[in-house]
Amino acid sequence: MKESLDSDASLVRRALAGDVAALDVLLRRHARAAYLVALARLGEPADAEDACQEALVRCVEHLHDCRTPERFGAWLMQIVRNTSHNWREHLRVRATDTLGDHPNLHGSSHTDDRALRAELRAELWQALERVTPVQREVVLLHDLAGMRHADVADRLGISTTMSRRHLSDARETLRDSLRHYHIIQPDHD
Amino acid sequence: MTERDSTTPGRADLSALDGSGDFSDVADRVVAPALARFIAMRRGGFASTLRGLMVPMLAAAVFVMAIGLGALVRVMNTPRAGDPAHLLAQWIEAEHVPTNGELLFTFQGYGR
Repeated sequence: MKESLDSDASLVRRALAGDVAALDVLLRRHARAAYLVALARLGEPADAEDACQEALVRCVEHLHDCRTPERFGAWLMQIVRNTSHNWREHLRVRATDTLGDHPNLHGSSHTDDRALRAELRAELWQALERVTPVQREVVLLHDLAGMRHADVADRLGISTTMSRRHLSDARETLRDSLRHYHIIQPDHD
Repeated sequence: MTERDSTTPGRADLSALDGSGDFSDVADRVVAPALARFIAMRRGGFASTLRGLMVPMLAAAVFVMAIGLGALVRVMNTPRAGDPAHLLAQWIEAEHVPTNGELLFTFQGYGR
């Protein structure tokens, strides 16, 4: 079967041959999903960005280990999950060490939009923590990144049916948790 | 783009969770270190290839030099045809008893 020039498999092969531009295209294509998978695991955008960054570096270092280049997305997301897990452990240790220095624990003068956004984010994260990690990934990739179920399934290494099922279950839980926040929207897509 | 699915409940507005705003900035930040690592690895790979090539090249150069030096020493040590030592060696090998004339002719420079 002929391989498209800009397919993942082709880009992986070109990158392995030393093509920086191909690697750039490949990583940018999956960066959003990688970031959201990290966010689904960590809950904090800054942490997700750091973990995502580290995961992409690891991905580059081990690119030659990607045995099925056509499944690069799923392979990368597994690296992101592992990195996020390690990052979470790292954060847990650091939080224990510096608990007294956390600004939120001393009361903050920030009563602006940023604070409200942070509060909403905390509520959202609390609600999302009630669903499984995979359901979180699905709901973020589908509802936040606007990806189709086929793409979500491809990235996460699951079937389209499971992607739909995870989304439905996750939304159900979120709806119950966030009802009082009035942020549930009808599905217009 | 997402497809419509009438069986799934309404979606929650999760935008507050993201916080990344324009993702292209985030993409730049997360992709750049990976590309830098890739370029560094390529340079490292080239340097190590060179280092890998240098050892056998150096060994080959030493081998060629040793052969050349050996040949030079051999040539320098080879007695020339008119050399008295060479003639003497030939006489001994052939068990030849030189005549007075041969001795005078050969060693005339040594007669003093």
